[in-house]
Amino acid sequence: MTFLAKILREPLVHFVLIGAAVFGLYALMAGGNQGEPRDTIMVTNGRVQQLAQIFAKTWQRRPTPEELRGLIDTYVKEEVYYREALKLGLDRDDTLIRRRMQQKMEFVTEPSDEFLVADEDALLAFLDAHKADFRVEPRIAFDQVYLNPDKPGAAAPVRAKQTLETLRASAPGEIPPDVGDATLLPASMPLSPLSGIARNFGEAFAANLTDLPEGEWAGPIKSPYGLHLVRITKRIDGYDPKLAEIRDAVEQKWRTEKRDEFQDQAYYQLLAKYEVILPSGQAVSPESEAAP
Amino acid sequence: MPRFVSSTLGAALVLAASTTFAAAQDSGTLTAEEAAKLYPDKPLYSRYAGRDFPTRPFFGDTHLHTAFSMDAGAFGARLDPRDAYRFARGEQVTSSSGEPVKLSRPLDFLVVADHSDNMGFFPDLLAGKPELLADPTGKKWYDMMQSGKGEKAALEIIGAFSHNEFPDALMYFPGTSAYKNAWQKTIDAAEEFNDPGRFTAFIGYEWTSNTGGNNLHRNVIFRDGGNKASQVVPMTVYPPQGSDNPEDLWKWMTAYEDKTGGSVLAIAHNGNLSNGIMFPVVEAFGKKLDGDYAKTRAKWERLYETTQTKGTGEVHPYLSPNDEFADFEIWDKGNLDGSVAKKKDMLQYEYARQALKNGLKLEQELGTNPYKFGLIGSSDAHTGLAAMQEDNFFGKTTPQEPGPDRMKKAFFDNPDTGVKVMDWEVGASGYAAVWATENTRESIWDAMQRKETYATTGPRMIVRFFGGWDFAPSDAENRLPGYIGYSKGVPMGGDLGAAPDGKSPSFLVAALKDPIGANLDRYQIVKGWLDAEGELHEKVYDVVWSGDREPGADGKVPPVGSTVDLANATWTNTIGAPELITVWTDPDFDPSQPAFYYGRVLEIPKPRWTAYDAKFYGTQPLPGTTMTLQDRAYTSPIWYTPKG
Repeated sequence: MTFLAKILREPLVHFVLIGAAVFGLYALMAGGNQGEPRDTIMVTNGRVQQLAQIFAKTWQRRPTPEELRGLIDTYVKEEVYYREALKLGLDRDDTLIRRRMQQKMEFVTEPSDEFLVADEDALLAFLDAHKADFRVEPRIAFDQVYLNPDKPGAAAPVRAKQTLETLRASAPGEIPPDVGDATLLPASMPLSPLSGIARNFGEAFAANLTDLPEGEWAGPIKSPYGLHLVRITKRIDGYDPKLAEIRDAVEQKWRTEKRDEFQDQAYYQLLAKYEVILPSGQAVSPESEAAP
Repeated sequence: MPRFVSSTLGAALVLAASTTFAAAQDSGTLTAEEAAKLYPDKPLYSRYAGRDFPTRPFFGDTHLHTAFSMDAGAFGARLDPRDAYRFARGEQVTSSSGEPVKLSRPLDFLVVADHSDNMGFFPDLLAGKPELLADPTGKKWYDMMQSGKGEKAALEIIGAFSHNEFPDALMYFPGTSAYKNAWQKTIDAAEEFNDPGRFTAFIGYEWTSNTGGNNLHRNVIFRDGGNKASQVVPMTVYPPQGSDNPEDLWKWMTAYEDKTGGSVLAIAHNGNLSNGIMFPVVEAFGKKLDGDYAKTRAKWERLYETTQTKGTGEVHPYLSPNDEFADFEIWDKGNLDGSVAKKKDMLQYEYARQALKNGLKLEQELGTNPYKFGLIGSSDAHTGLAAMQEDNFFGKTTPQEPGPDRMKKAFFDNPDTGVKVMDWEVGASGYAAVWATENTRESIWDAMQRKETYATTGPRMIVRFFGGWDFAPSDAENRLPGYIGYSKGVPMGGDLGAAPDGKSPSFLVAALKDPIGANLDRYQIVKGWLDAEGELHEKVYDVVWSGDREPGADGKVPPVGSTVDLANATWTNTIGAPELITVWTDPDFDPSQPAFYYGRVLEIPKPRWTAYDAKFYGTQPLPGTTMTLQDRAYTSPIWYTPKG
C-alpha cells in the first residue's frame, strides 16, 4: 500500500478534507455580501471528531462522508440560529432555557467521588442518628390454609373450626391435600419481613401474626380475602443491626444526604452573592431558607 | 416447554429442555408429549419440590420520566432518576411542587425512561480530552480533582461559570464524577439502586418519535448493567444523528446487541395518539409492509403499553360496539399535540385488540405476525413519581400534582383543530405486572421477553391465565393453581400447540384482589379470530363473576352494582368477590381458525382520582368529569395457530 493510499483511508484526513470543503463553500458564499463585517463560525477538528464520535456511539459504526457532511451542516445551522437567537435575546425569559441552565449548573456542582467517600466513624455516627430508619423488622415464616367466605355450604368460621381440628390431628408438617379452598395466595410463606407479609395478606393479618404460637396450627385470622388457619414455622425478632451488616444501605443514604448538603451549600454560596428583594421588602438569606 | 419448569425436574428433563431451548425463548409451545413429560411417572412426594415457576407477580413501572426529560424539566419537575428510584422502592420524598409523598407499598421495579432527545446534556459526552488539558485552567482543575480536591475545583468552576470566565474548551471536561452527562447519570442511578432480590432498577430511555405530532414512542429497556449500556448513547429522533422511523430504532437495537452481546427490548405506547400509524397493515414510512418488517417488529417489540396516564388503549367503543366495558379512559380527539383531529377510520390502527386481530391476518400474508405482543401498563408520569393509585395520584406532569385546580385546566387545547383534552381526563394508570421467578433485572426482563406479563390500570391485583388442552373443572379447586397451570398448560404470553383431535382449548383463570383495593366484579376472556373467508371476529366471554348473578338473554352477566359514595369518595367491599377462579373451555372453537385469547379482570366501581380531589380540596368538578371507574387488568394473550 502506498503512503498516499494509506493516508486517504485515515479518518482524520477525511475530517480535514471535509472541513476544508465546508470552509471553501462558505468562503465562496461570502463573496456576494461585501462590506458587512462577518462573524466566523470555526468548526474545529475536535468538533468534527466529536460529532463523528457521538454518531459512532449511537450507531456503532463511523459515519460515511455524506453522513459526516450532514452532521457538520446541521452543526453549523444550529450555531447560526443559536447566535442569531442570542442577538435577539430569545434566551431571556424562556422558562425552558432558564430551567435547563439551572439543571446544567446542578450537574456541574455534583460533588466528586472523593467527597462522597465515607469513613467508618462518619457512618457509625450516621447509623446511630438514624437508628429507626435501619431497624430490621421482625420476620416470620408460616403455612396457611385459606377458607373462602363466599363458598356455598357451611359458613367459613364453622368450616375453619373443623379444618383446624383436621390440621391439628394430621402428622406434623403435613397438610392433607383436600383441606382448605383454592387461592392464589402462597400456601407457605418463606421467612419474610412483616411489611412483605402485609403486601400479600393485608396489614391487619400481618399484625395478628405476631401473637401466634410457633409450630402449631392456630386461627382463624382474617384477611381481606377471607379466613386463614396459620402455622408459624419460624420467627425472628426485629433488632437494630450493626454497621457491618448494612454498610451499603447506610453508605447509600449517607451519600444521598451528603450530596443534598453539598448542593445546598453550593447554592447558598451563589445566593450569597446576591441581594434578593421581595415585594414585601424582606430579603432572602440562606438561613431563612428551610432545610430540604 | 417453559424453561423454568423443566430445569428442576431432573437431568433427563434438563436435557429435553436444552433441545427445546429456542422454543422456550419464544415463550413456550405446549404439545401433548411435552405436557406428559411434566407429569413424572412417579409423583413427587413434596408438591413444593421441583417448583421453580413464578409464584408471585412483580409490580413496576416501565415508563417514568424525571427532570432529565426536557419537557418534564420545563414543566418544573425537579426530581432526578435517583429520587425516582428512592420513591419507587418505598421512601418518602418531596414532590417538585413541595408535597411530601409516599407509595402505599413499594414497587418491585422501575425503569427511568427519559426522552433521549435533549436528555440533559449528553451530546457533550465525548470530549476531546487532549485539547482540554492543553488549557492551563483545565489542567489546574484536572490536577485538583486528581489530588482529591474535587469539591474545591467544583466551586472554582461554578465561580468561573458565574463570572463568564469559563473557557470554551472546558465545556467538555472528561469523565470525572462532577461532569457526568445525563445518560451516564441515568445509568449510575440505576446501578446504585439496583438491589437484586429486593428492588430492580432497570437502565432505559424513551425514543420519542413524533412524526407530524403522531405518537410512535417506544421505551427501550436494557437487560444489562452499566458496563454494556454505557458503551452506547441512546437512539434519538432528530436528524441527522437520529431518526423517527421505528425501523431505524430496530437497527440501533441490533447494533447494540451485536456490539456488546447485551439484550434490549422496546415497548410502544399511546397508539391512541398516533392518528392511525401505530399498527399499520399496508405500509409504514412509505414502504409496503413485508415479511422482514413483520419479523423485525415481532423480534424487538414483545410488549405493548396498553394503559397509562394519557388514556387506555385496549379497545375503543367504535371498534367494539358490543363490549359494554370498552368505554374506559378513552383519549380519541386527535394526535399527541392536538395538531390533527381524529377520524374514525384511524382507530382500527391504534388499539391493542384490533392490532392483535390484524396480526392474525398479517401472519397469513407476511409469514410472521408483527403484532404478537404481550400487554403491560405503565405511568408515563413526568414527575419522577410512579404514584398511580386513585387516592394517591401525583399526576402526569408537575403542574398536575395535587392541588385544588388540577382537574379544571386543559391538558392541551388547539383552537385551530378544535382538539381539546382536559386535565381531568388524565388517568391514574397504570403499572406493569410481571410473572418472574425472582426480582432481578435478568429474571424480570426475561419474563417480559416471553410476555408473561399483564397490565393494570393502577391496583395490584394478582392475575393468572393459563391455556392448555386438558384443564378440568376440578383444577379450579386445587389449592395450588399455579402448579396445575404450569404443569398442564402455558402461561399468559404463550402459544397453544396443535389441537389434539376433537379437543377445544381450556383455560385456568384466577384473580385475587389487591389486598388494599376493591373487590372483583368479573373475569372475562376476550377472543379474537380469523375465519376461512379472511374476516376477523371478536367476542368477550364472562367466565367467572362474583355473587349469584345469572347471565341475561344476551349471555352477558348484569352489572355488579355500585357502593360508591361520591360525596365522601368512599366505597365498600360489600359487593364483588375477593378472589375468582374457574376453568373455562372455548364453546366456539374451530381448529382451522387462528385465534388469540386474553383475560380482562374488572374491579367493582370505586371513586376515581377526581372524586378524591373533589372531596379533599372541595373543588367543584367541571360538568362531564368522570368521577367513578372500574379499574381493571389485561393479561397478555395466549395464541392458537392451526397446523400447516
